[in-house]
Amino acid sequence: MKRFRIADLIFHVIMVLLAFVWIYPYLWLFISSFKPAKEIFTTFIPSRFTLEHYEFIFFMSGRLGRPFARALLNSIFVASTVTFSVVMTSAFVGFVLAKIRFLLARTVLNFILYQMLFPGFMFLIPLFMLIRALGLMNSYSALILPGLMSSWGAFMFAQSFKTIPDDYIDAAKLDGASRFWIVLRLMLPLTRSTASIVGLFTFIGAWDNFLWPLMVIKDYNKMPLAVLLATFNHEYAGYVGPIFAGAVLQTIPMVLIFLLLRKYFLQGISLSLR
Amino acid sequence: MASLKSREKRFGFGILAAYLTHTAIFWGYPFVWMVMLAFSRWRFVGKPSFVGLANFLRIFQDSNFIRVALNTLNFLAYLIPMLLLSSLLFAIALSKMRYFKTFVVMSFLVANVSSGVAYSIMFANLFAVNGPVNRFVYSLFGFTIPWFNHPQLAIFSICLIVTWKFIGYYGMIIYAGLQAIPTSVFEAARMDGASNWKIFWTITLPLLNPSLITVTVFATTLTFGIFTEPYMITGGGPMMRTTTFLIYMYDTAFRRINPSYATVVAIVAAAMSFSLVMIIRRIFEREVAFV
Amino acid sequence: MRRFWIFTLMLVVVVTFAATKLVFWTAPNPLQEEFWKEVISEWNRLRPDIQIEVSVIPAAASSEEAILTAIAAGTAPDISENIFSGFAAQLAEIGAIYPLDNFKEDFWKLVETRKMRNIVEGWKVKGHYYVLPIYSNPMLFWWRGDLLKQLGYDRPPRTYSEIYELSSKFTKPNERYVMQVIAGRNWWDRWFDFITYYYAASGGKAYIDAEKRKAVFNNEYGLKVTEFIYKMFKENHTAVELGTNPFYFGTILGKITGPWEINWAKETFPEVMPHVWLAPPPVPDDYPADLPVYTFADTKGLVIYENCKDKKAAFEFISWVFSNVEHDVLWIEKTRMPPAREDLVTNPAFAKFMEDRFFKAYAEAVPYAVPPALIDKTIDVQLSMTTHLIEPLMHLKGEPKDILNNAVKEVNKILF
Repeated sequence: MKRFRIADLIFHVIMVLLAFVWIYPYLWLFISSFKPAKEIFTTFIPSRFTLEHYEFIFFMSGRLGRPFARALLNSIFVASTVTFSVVMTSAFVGFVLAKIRFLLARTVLNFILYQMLFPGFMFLIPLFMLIRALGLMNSYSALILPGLMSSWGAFMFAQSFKTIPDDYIDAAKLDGASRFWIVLRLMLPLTRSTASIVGLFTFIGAWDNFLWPLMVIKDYNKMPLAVLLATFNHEYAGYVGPIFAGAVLQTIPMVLIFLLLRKYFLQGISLSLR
Repeated sequence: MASLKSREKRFGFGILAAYLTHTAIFWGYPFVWMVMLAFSRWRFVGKPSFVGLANFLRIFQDSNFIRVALNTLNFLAYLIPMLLLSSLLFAIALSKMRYFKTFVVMSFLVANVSSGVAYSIMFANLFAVNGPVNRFVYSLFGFTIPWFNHPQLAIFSICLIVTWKFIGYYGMIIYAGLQAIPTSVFEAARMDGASNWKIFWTITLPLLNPSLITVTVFATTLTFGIFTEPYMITGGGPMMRTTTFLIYMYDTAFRRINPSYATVVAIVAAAMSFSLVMIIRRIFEREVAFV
Repeated sequence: MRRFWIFTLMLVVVVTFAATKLVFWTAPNPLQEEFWKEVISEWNRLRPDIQIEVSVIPAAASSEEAILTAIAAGTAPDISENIFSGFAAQLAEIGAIYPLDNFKEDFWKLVETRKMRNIVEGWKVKGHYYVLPIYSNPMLFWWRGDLLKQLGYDRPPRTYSEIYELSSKFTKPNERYVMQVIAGRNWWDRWFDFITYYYAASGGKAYIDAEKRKAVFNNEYGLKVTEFIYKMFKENHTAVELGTNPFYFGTILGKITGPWEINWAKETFPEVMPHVWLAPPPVPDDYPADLPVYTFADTKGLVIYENCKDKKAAFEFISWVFSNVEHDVLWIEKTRMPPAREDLVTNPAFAKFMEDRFFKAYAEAVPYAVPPALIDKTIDVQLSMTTHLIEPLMHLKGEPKDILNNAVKEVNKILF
């Protein structure tokens, strides 16, 4: 045990202060969304707290044709559907890639590595054409279908399944377990941190996706929160309070899911090194 | 046992067939379209007409494209050193911390899960001329800083908020690399009488090479994909300086109704990003082994 | 009696299933939105067979971008408003909108009823009339009369020199400035700064020769305007950033705006509005004092899209809205924007609005308000003007004359 020195104390104080600087923008946004409109830019601690901006977002904005409550539900629906699907399908594909030895699996694994060389933005316009050709513009399908499966997720699962000894699987097979059972009840719980990483990043990616829904959704009722917030910010730039309240709503689910999965998040970061 | 093996294979085929079907529809088909669009002229209506390499040749005469490419270099010139240096410092500081470590880590990481639209709105207001940051600056120095309204400063400001967002994540990557170095290596060096400074330059930094390269590569690909921040905050201005490849692609496709040229812009941007990553790897990557 | 009910029931069923449903996009402006919602709900009551669904153009950056994306996606509406002439030319070019003169005498009857025979001529694209002009907003300057009086003025400044002089009495860098010179960084903001100043300086001359597809603003007028903007920034009479609502908070004395701001400002800043003086844009010092000052007309109209399911029904709706003068009265009530009609000053239906000094000032400026150049590449041209003209002037990158010549060169590259 080292002696606690003054320099050490100062160092810790600086780091904690820095941490506060880092969350200050969030705090400011959060507190501002409860301030009366006139005080947003003038005081840090307002004279009173008000829920008027949230009332506007939830009850008034619908009448203006800007259904924020609905957009929030849209975002939740799209992001959770995509996340659930990606975690499930990736686990199965990853299992096949890691644990079943045959030519196709090896080929697919190589293909996935090759596929990851192409950044997603290259496909935006051709994908847009596809969605148009399928007649899926302005629909939830346009937001959900392209994201139902993920090569990256399958790759992550394959990598971590490889570290699980085959004996486990053989033992389960001898007990007569089906392959679905093996993947869902044996493999997934063993790789909880991979599942959380895939889930967290997929959820954040889907929730935060802006450019794609901006291109394919023009119907206010189907817009995810990010796009509705951006349009509202453009049209009603003067309504700073409700815009802030919307930004808080847009941020909260991501922060929540992060705080829930933070342990796995930290474990998972070392995975991205491999 | 043979039947089990073949049943297993059948299961594998089934799962992979589903995966490949999805990939064929949402990756393969767009891929084919991408190649077709790149060599044709098309405006969303009618049939595309084949124009050969005309779209690619246009890149070289397009002063806007050159501007956008320079902007991207400008972004890289700020972002890579800023991200690399600050996340390295963060990781080292973290490894020296004994109290409040979780709190500090969480504070920096929570920035990383901010939504693009929301945090763009947040920073646009935070840095506005009457926002808290400028109020603070004004009370100290008697002037305000046009964060998003000056051509060079706007690029810097966007890099600043991107750094705010990613320092925690990248810092943790480097931190993980730091933890992977066995303490015996440092102890041995200290026994030999090496100074802290020397240990850092000759041992820590070379051994961190894989994590530093990872961060550099991440930061490079990130820069080529910037869209939301300039779209929301600066609209690509001032003087087009914050127009990124993605903004230019989006504008070309939907404001100038030229999806074929927009696709070529995307392809060339991707190729540039890919080559840059390859160059970084070739020049800086070192094999590291802990003996 | 039973038969009657069955018949009614059948009629209702038939009507509900056979009813044409048309989608109408309004401008992203709350006041216009209100007008359309009211008018359309009335129409939907009257005409169960043609139901109109109203929603706002989903614009995250600009209406034009939203409409173009929707056309690319095949999800364009049936009708939309907020179309300026240059954008109509672009839409016509890609074949996205339907010529209204295809309705032959019905169209001409509507034009006669709404008194816009001359106005529609300014909207002719390749021999066709694609747009029904709705309103025409002259752009005027608003000045803070209360603050000007304190400084010893009884009228707003007229010329560039008067503005410099006023500035020397008021401006205090980083705190307050004489006026807002540049309207913003969006492409459409060029209408409200350079083009407006150019119209004022030149007596309404064209800045682009639409026939020859050539920019012509590198003349004496363009140079005077360019030097004015340059000097305003160089000598710190104005600044790049002015904060939110600087005019109402007294950060600046003057700014340009359209009538759409009247109702909003009366509600939000009731203490400022009674002291606002209206004036045409500033002119060069040698501009004759006895000549009227020209300004820019922000004028928008309505179009029917080519993919509209029932163009006849759409036109029926349009005719119904615009042949009733009461709807234009309601329009002014809601938006304070002058309808695009030639009888604005003479028609007794509008007399009551002339008592509103704001509306009156705008209505009287209509004859001297010039619409933008009718070119299909307006957005690109004005983006280029932003990058090569306005922003170099704001950031003092080079001499005004060189900047102007270079800007004209860049614009011509696009037009060619």
